[in-house]
Amino acid sequence: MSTGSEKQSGETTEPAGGDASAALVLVDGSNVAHSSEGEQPELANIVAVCDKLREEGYEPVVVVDAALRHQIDDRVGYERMVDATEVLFIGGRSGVGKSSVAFEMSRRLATARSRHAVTEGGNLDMAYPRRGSTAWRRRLWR
Amino acid sequence: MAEKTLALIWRNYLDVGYRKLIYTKTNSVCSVEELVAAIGGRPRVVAVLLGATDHTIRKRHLREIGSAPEEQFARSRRAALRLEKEAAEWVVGVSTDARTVVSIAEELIELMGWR
Repeated sequence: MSTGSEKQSGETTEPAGGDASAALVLVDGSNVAHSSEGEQPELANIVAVCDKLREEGYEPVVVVDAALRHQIDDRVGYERMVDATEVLFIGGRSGVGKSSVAFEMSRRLATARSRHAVTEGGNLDMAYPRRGSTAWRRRLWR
Repeated sequence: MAEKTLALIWRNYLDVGYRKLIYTKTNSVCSVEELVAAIGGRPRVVAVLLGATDHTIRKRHLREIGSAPEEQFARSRRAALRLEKEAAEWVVGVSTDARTVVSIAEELIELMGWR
């Protein structure tokens, strides 16, 4: 369940807890998931152990057997952890070229047959009135 | 609103096997935690703040020229100052002055290890 990415320059820092120099710890995920009472293995157990380890300064690498995928209580959460996602946020003032850079990256990745998605955040809430704004609260629109 | 919509969009991509997302938004580097929460899971996250001087921006001219170009420029300028101040320290700053889109795109792909 590790991301398995081996690059990592010092610049690619995670928002919390990420430390390239942290000692790796192997976690028997199947065992941990089954460690609570009840029939069904729980993903929350694995998450809790990983959180605790990170807190202590370790970098957990979770190993599980193939059957766990079919037994785990939170399948969606499990799938996400197995094949960890990677996100690049591109911010910056308008006119700086965020979209142009994203499009160019997309073209290059497509050429390299690297599966990815681009989302333009500016379009996700381009609406009037903006939810929660004064106009919204006072119901000023028509 | 944007976060809710992002959550739906990314869920759709996830369901069919996408794992890499590029997300552009002016202030995205200031609200990474909310955005990551919307995406869900424990993604590897990299945030980049593109920068450019006022001079560069003027020269390029805002592409989205609407009803008030000066107002847009002023807004862009205010945003630049705010982003510089509010972006977390782990955000990677990339100056775009005198650089091509191609070289910046290459740098970011390299940064992500998405070769």
